[in-house]
Amino acid sequence: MEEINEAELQSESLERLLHLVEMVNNILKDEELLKAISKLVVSEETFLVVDRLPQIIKLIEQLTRQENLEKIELILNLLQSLDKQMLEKLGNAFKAMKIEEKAKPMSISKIIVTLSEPEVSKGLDVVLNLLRALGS
Amino acid sequence: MSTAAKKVVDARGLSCPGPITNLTKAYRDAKNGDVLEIWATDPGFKSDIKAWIERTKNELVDLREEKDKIVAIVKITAKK
Amino acid sequence: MAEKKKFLIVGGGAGGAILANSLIKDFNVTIVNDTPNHYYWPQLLQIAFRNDYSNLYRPLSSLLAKGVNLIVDKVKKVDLQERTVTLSNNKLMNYDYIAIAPGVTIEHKGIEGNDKLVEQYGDFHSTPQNASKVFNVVTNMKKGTFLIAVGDPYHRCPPSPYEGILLADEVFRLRGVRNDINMVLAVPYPRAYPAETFNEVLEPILKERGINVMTFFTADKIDIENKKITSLEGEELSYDAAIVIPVHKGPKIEIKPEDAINQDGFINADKFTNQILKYDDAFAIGDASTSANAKTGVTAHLQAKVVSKRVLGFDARNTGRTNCPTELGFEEGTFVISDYNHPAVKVPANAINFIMKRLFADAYWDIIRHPEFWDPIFDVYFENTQPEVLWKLFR
Repeated sequence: MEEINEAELQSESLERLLHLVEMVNNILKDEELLKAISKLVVSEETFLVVDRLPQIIKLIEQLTRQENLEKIELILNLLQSLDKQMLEKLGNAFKAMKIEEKAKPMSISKIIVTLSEPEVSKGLDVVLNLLRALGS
Repeated sequence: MSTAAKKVVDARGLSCPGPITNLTKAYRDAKNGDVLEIWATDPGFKSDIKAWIERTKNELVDLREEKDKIVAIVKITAKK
Repeated sequence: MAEKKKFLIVGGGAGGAILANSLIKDFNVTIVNDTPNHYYWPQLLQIAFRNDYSNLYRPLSSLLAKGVNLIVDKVKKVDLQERTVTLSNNKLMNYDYIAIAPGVTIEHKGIEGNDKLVEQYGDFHSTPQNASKVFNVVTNMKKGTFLIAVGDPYHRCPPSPYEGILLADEVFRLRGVRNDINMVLAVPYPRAYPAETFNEVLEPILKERGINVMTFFTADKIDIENKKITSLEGEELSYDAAIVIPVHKGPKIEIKPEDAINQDGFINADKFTNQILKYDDAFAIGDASTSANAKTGVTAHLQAKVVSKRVLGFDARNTGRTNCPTELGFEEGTFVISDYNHPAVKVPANAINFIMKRLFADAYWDIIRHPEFWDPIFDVYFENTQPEVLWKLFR
């Protein structure tokens, strides 16, 4: 049962992260705000920093890009759609796998990496669907 | 004896938007001849009510400070 | 384990939604809202003067925590004695606790001629459509008198008439037509801003921007043909374009017993506890209640927190704290900060305040959705910006 609770918690934290990212996105799209900040921030002394600003903004922009937000949303939906039986099957499938880390909850990224190994995907419908939904 | 209505406007404890707005509200429904008694605790009320009287040309019958409140008695005469 | 008590919330605005998300761990929560959407009403000002719809609304379902039951329907009647709520199809629901937070009803018919006036020039206290009409006016007007008149001193958002006239001034200046327009702000109060202390901050700004302020003017009758507004106080103002801040009434819900509502339809709630009369299982919060000394989202938010604590046995009480962001145009702002025991602090106008207003607006949806995250942040903010503390800073 631990795997199921962990999956729920992971899904909730991921959802919370998604909301925070949406909020940051909202802030970055706020022209009035950016205008006010730039008025405050731009002075002779701060010019050097302001010069670097495009790169900083680009980095944040990459993190909040639509496709990345979509990928996160997809994973979330998938986790939510997995019913208890599926999660149990998944848990049992993991137990059957020879993985170094045992009993500790896996991070989402670790799960995805492990699932992409060919032996693991054999005979597990759930895992196949997961891969399909994640796309490329 | 006149049958003019006397209404008490209890504006004690209010400071924003202030007792004058309570008076304005009662003024909307009042008719010439009516008497309004306003209770307030906001100290600014005394000068505000005098300014209101001057602008609206109604009659200030009494303005006094009691132990726990300010009391203004206004006779409505200027409504069109 | 005992079954959770049923908490019914009427209205999914700022007060209702935050309350629902705050109660979900301890109660079985149902929220009834008349539309599927939750509106961020301050956006009306941005639509009216900047044509910005970006933060206007989201589906209420996306703002509620998992487990909150949402019913999209109108509430016809609330019976506090029987502890029942009647929906539009006459379906009856009962509750263990109720919080009534459906907001106000805007009544243009409350002032003669206001119906027609709003059709012509719009306003920024009712609908997005009416707000867009205002944008039309400020982007096309070339000369004449532009008038904003307060028709109801108990309107939503105390700073809004001032924000309106100053943002209109900004638009006219940016368009290069400001010198040909006579700008007038008519208010029912003895001074520009009713609170004397805050008026010391605002009045000089209005003067500097050339806004003519008409005091003791409560809009009473609008003569559409002759373009004149007459006040309750017996005076008259002419206009070429005018916006009247309309009459606000309580929600259109039948509430029993009758003494639960006042003559304007607002629900009689205790100013410290939000409790409705003697019913310790019934609360009214936000614009619809008489316990809101200012009709603002911040008040609804704070009242929701007080109620959520009270029903768990804590003696939380409203402090009457206001925290109204006031936009002044040209990326400057101030705040109206007061509580039951302190008059409004003389917060100076600056860019930081404007930035704070915008940050709050951008974070609004997250704030509604995750009170468990934002509560500690707001606790620190309100603690450190108590009027008592700020009065020492801004004398």
